Amino acid sequence: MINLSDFTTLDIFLAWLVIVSTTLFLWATYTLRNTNQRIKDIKDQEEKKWKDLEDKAQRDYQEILQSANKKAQEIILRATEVRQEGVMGFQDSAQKMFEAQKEAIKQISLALSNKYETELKKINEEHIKLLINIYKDIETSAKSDFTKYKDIIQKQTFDAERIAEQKIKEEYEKLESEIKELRQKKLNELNSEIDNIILNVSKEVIGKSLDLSAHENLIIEALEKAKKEKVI
Amino acid sequence: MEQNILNLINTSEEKEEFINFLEGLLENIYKEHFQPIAKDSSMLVKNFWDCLNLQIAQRKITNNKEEIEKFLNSLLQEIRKLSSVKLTIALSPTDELINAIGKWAQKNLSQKIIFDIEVDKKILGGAIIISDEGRFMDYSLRRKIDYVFSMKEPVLR
Repeated sequence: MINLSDFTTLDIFLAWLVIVSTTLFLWATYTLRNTNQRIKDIKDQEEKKWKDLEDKAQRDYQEILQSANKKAQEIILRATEVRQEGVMGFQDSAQKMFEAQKEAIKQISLALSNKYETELKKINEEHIKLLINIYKDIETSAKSDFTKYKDIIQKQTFDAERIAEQKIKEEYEKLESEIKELRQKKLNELNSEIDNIILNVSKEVIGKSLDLSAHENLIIEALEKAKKEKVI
Repeated sequence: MEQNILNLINTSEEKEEFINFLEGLLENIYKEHFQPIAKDSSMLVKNFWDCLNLQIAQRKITNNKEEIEKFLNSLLQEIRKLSSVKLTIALSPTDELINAIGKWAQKNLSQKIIFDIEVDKKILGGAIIISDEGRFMDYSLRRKIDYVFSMKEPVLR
């Protein structure tokens, strides 16, 4: 049997503390579990909300896309129509513009042609005048120069004639001298050849005409001369 | 006395012939039954041999081989010492011509000389003489004719 009187203050305090702690623990656990549940619920709600949003966005996107496509087709259709209209219009405009330009160019060309023709005529006339003046000048100058050239050529002709005459004379004299020299040379050669022929014939004739006795005499004569000249 | 033997030599060819003969004699002088003269020996060599025998007999040394050897050696030296003159002539020398030249030399020259004869037909006649000392003299007929022609050249022209 428990006797209350045996419990001290401290024991009581501790017992109180255990009870309070356990209570607090249980309360905290309960609270935490509720909180977790609530968080989970919130998360689920959030996910659902997001999913709904995504679905909605998808639908909106599809609608927008279809709408855009439709719009685009309308625009293309319109543009094609406009283009066809434009081309037709442009062709007409271009034709008209071309005709206008052609006409304008024709007018300008005509005007320019007339202008250039006039200018050209004017220039030609000036040139003709200038040429006539030049010819006149040339004629005058030529007449004057011709007299001068005539005098010069006449003088040069006389000089050339005189030089040629002198040159011919010199050449003739030179040629004459050369011929004379050559003739003398040939004559000398001929003379020399004749001399040689005479000499050789003489030698041969004399050589052959000597008999032994004549040879002996000539040799003895040579020896006597050699003795006289104290060669031997 | 050797002068008679030396007078037999007139040309350088004869000189060589005599020298060879003497050398042959000296080589065989002591041999018994030695015959220095062969059947085909030239007349000149035979004359030379006769002249030698005469000299030996005159010297009375016929039986003294040593004296003969001495005499032959002396003669050989003398022949070798003979001076020569080069003689160019226009024709091949005959024995008569050589004798005539030899006689002239013997008669006209104080010293014995021999002639080294050479033949050149181009000189026509006469002789070209070159002494032992190298003196040259042209006494040829060709030179005479050339000279005459050179002198007469202006006249010929």
